Amino acid sequence: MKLRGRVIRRQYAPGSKSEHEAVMLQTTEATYRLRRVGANPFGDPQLDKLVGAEIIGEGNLHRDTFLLTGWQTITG
Amino acid sequence: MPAAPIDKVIVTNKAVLKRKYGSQVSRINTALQELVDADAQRGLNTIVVDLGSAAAMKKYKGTAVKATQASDAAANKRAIDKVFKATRPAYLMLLGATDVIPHQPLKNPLYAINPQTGESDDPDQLVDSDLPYACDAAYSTDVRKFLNPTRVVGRLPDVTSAGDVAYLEGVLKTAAGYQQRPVKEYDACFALSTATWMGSTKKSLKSIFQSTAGLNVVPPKGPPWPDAALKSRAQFINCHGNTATPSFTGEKVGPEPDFDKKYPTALSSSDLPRHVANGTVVAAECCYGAELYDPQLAMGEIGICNAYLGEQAYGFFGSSTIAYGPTDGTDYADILCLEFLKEVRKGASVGRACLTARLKYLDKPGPFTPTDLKTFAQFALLADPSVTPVQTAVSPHAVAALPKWKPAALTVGGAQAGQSAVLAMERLARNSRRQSLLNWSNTAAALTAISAETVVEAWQAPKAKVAAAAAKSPKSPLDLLRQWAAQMNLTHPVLLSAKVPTAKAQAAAAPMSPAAKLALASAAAGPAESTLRPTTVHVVMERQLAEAADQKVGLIVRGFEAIEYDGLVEVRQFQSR
Repeated sequence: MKLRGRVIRRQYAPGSKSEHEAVMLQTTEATYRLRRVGANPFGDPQLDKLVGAEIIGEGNLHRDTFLLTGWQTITG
Repeated sequence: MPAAPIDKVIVTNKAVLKRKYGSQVSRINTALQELVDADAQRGLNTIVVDLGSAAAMKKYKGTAVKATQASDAAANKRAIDKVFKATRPAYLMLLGATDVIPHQPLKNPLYAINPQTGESDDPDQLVDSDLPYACDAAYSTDVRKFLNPTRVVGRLPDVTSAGDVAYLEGVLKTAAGYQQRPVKEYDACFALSTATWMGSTKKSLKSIFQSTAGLNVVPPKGPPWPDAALKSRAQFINCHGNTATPSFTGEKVGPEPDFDKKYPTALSSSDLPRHVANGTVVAAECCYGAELYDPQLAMGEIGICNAYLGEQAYGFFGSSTIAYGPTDGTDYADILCLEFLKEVRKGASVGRACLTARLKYLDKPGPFTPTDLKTFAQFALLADPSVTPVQTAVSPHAVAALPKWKPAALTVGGAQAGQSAVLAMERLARNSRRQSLLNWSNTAAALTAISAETVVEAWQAPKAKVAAAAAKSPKSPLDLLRQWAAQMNLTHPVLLSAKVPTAKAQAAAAPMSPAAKLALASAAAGPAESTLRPTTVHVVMERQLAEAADQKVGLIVRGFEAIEYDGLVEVRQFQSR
């Protein structure tokens, strides 16, 4: 499936030791955690590079995560 | 002539199999018949019940599960219960992955929106479970209804959504051709642990094998694993896992900026082909270790659980969702996994080992907490439950038949007359074991104080002055919770609390067997120490990133449970696997 949206970081647990910015795909319908299939599920520098870009992502929705197999950057 | 009793029931949905495999489904039917025949040679009278057949289900006064409603958990539970109640077999096998017979969706007692973050720290809204199939209780999404498992159940899966007929044919042939081996074949262990959980893993291994010799800590170790290690028939894995991911992951202690060094791969599905010994039995604590995901989600790679079974493993015991355990002691997932392997090594069938592990979990001291409930629901056995990998050391008793012995009533599969007497005695022993487990289940469930509905409470960090005073002299449970949260560096946790009902309220809420009532009465009449009653359970948990992951996505859930007993508070720390 294809999803169009903006890659964002969402602030998580602000002010805490665990504060971090999860990489998400924000579409007009919903916001999903993003994970690149085959990448280390605990962190992926390649996804970090997409933050701020609008993309058409190709992949599958599974639980609360969009599993990304490919993408096309619309605007960087 | 009375019909032979049914020892094993295999339930599946042939219309769904037909949809998945088309004309190749005949190969599955042939493999199934081979399993039924092989079981007969072992003295098991096995029947295959097509849940999708109206004619077959009519025999059990049940309603067929049409292919269009294959994903309907309630319909499947009802149909399987009807078959089970009519046949009361020693073994119940679910044939197929979750697109053939679905998991039962149970509400996760740890799922709660953290008011401070807007998300649940444990993201699993539902726990995908096979536990309800092991219980007589009717369909429900409340795990507390399923705390007295009595059925020996296993699921022999195919690959979700994929039409790989050779895979299903293969796992059926492995079950049909299984061999029992001496326990020494299960003495050598291949164990994997993250470096962070080494202490906990060592304790589990000592409990199962009285040795930690097979332990591999990741990092520094990692794949490729030598054949001599990976071909060990007993395997214990205590690593991280992720959803729809064909690998388990280690974890380095301390900071490490490179993710691939902090969380290196410990084992992948692709490591297994041709490197796993026939008869391997695996217990895996990893999050999502037994998730039967569609390989299309992972570029065609099947999950590790599927991969082991495809390589002729006899059983895989694991979790469908995020699982928990402590870093140093043994609790939660550790208990189930270590008890499972201990029972297999003692000569239990993998199905009985699963049921016994569940019952031992119920015996753990203290009330059943929300984390216990999730753990109890999420672990499942992927196997033909009747497979018994280890030969028992006890010599069989001599059995002789007198003329009045009527073997036909109990004989199956054309067994010879002499053999039928031995098989009949084996059946009696098996049924006796089932009765003992049933009694144990009733008693254990009665003594397990079931937690009430959890309530999310506000977690507010007190002002520094107030916090310091409370730390010096804690006056309320909340003071203690804050103290422990600070010790674990939990700064924005969610707090769940649940009152523990009294034994009287519990007895009133659920019908109980006489044995269960007796157990409750004995407990209530015990010495003062044993009547110290749990009143409230608190869960304090937070989704965190490990030290290396300062600005990245991660999913480590840490926290603790605090159990109040009239003035005493017990703390149990946990971390997601």
